[in-house]
Amino acid sequence: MNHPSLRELHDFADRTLDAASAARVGAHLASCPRCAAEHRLILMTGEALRRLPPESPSPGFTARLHHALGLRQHVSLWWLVLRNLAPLVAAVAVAAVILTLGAPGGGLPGGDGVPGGGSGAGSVTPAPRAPLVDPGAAAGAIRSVAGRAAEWTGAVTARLVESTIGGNSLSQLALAGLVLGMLALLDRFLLGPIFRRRS
Amino acid sequence: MRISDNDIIVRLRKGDHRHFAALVDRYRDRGYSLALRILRSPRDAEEALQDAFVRAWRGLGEFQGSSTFATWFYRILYNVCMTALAKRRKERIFADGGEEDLPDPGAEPAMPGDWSGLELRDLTERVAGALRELPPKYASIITLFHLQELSHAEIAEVTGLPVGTIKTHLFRARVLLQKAALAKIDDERIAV
Repeated sequence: MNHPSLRELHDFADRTLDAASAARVGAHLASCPRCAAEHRLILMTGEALRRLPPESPSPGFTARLHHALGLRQHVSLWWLVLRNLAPLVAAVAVAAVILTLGAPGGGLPGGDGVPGGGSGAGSVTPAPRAPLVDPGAAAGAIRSVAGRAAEWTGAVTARLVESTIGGNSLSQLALAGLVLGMLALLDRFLLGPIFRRRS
Repeated sequence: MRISDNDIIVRLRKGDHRHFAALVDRYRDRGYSLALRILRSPRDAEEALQDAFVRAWRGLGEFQGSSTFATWFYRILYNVCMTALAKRRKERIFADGGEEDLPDPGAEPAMPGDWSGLELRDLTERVAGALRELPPKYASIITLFHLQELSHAEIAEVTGLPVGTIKTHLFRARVLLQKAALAKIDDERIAV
């Protein structure tokens, strides 16, 4: 029996043989178990090579490359906002939950006579109805909303301070969380960039 | 939707540098695998890969688009690796007084025995180990063919070698790999 060479078997597996040679080798493989086994091994080796996963450089390679090129890595704006505000949001959420569940009298401002809280009734006079195009009325509405926000914030702070002085440990924890969140924000946006730039 | 390499290059040329990261993501691991199999040192491979990306970035204006970006980039990386390898060999010649010859399997290796019961998973593990010991000229071509999935003509473009030489190298590389992988299995069978 005239066996094809090993090189021919490889070329047959790679489909780089001309049509006549491919037909001859194909016919031989159908009748020769030894060459068929060899051909199968060639195919298996190719498949094994294709299955090998690509390897990765060490972590931080891309960042180092960007640094070497003097490029800044593009980061999504939303991710930046989320990352920077996360400590504050988390602190406020914790504070709100603790105040709601743990503070004496329960609930946030307005529940026990704090002005301007809760239902929003309070002492603030609602802005008069006016067309949107009227600048005077719009300014009044903005002032009204700002006034309510200031009252609400003041009420929360007052409640926290009151609870803290009164020795409510949960409120003290909430206040500490809020302060830490503010400090984290201050560091990220104001102090950090200044000192990093200087160093 | 995946943006094509050529579209990314058009945007980079317009000054939109954000898309360079996408190119790096696409070619980082495959490029690193190629460099690692040629240089056999993770540190040298990373250096070569970074060098290749820097050269590609600076030479984007020279990329004509007559070949694919992949072929163009791998050519840069291959040349960087070969330069590093040549430098390393030169240093070794000065240190040892002679160049170590790489093993060659010969033109027509003998056919191995009966491996009909061999499992693909076993062979893959052995091939991975054997690939790390393959001479760089074979390891590079086998990586470009099987991992990067380039054609013979594209590999010829990357390496600057004739297509016939690529086919010969590929053939010898696979025979060497098979021999090494099957020898490991033989050793294990004898040990058992």
